[in-house]
Amino acid sequence: MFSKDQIAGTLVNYYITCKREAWLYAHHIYPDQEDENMALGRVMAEIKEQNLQDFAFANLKFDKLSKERGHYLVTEYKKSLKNPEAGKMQLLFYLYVLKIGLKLKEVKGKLVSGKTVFLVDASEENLNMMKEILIDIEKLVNMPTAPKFEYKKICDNCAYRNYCM
Amino acid sequence: MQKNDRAHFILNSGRLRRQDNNIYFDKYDDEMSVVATKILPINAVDEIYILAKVDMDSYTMAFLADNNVLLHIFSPYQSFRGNFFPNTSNSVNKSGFVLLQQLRSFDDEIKRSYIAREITRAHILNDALNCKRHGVKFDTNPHISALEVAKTIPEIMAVEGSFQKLYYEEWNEIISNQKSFKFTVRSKRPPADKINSFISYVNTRIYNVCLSEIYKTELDPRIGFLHEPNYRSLSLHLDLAEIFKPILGDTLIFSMLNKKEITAKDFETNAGRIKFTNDAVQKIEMKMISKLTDQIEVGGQKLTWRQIIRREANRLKKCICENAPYEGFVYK
Repeated sequence: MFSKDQIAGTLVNYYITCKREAWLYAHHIYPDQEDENMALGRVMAEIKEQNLQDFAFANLKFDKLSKERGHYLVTEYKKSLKNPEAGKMQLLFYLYVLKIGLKLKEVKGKLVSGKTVFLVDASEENLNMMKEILIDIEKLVNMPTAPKFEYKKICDNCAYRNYCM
Repeated sequence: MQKNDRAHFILNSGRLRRQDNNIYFDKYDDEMSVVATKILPINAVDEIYILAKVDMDSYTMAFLADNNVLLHIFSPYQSFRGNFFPNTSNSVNKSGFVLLQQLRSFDDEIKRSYIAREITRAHILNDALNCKRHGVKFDTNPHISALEVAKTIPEIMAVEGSFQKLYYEEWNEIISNQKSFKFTVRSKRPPADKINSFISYVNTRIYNVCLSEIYKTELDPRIGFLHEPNYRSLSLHLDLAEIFKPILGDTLIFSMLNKKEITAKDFETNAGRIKFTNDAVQKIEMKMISKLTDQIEVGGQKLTWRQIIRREANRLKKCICENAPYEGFVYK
């Protein structure tokens, strides 16, 4: 049985992108590690800015958590923003856990890719949406088999393509 | 896209050591003193084959583990001894779900014989295409129809065995040098003549390539479908290699013998056991690596042979996990 505390940021991101991908990832069926985008992502995680604290809370790993004037700021770095919705949701998930779990009062989120920056706000409305998404994820992951494969445009560049197609 | 093969071979005795964030190899002479040092760039190596006596410490092995480098260790007679498979936070081979599904598929007699039959079919077809390419006629129909009737694993094995015997008889027509490389009967442990020794060496290599590709997926190499896993430690890579032996191994043997790149001089005999000289190993490996890095178009993608093997492993995984139809790879 997969419980809600096992959900990590990547899973939320995958859930928004592709349900099948999320199911596979949750069952530890990992994408092709030699895929170019995977390799780039791994390098991105390695060469973060210096002196950034690797803050670990439960099974979350932020790229950066900094203390600003009067609030905390979570920053998430992405190689590209082809799918900004997924990145925003991942960030919102971090904010949700920090607000509900750690009971921090003021948390804000920032999504950075090159010169593009998105801000994510932990408003009441957003947090409620997140809560529903988490329930959905738990339902999806506890299904006995993966959702059926359907070809989409994103499949061409996915690291799971050798498995799915 | 990966173009060059990321395997490194160590043929001389020496010491493998970590210095800073890289791997160095010190070559020893007969008195164990260092005569040369070579750097192995860690980011350009995926697996290391050790065919000689090599010193190593745990510090080096931990570093290799962190970088997901797979070690294959061989005996002085070039038979496989084992491998060091790193288990680190970034190694992928950790899915309990896939292992469970693999065990269930193995226990399911219908599914197991289905997979075994598909693998054997691909093996027979690839062998036959090999013969056809060398201008030898070979009729596969009786074998394929016998395969369709075969229900149990021993029956499938029997079909494969009788086919393999006929296939090896055709080799005498393909190989031109009949004086030193006449094929009479397949013998193993130890191979009795030069041609058997050559087959054994090349097959071992393909087993290891398949094994390292299986380790990159979540499949467990201990549970094979065609080969009985009861009496040996690993068997899934033998199944996978059945498909690729004719394509990669046999063609390599034919071309190297017919072009006289390997002659009777490349073998050493010691107490009745035949082995290759280091020069010959080098020649074969050069050929093998260029073969493995050849790109072929499969399903709209340009893939190297290594990637095709992994794709095949992934298809097997999909069949195991989701009951997807599986069809063995046939190289047309």
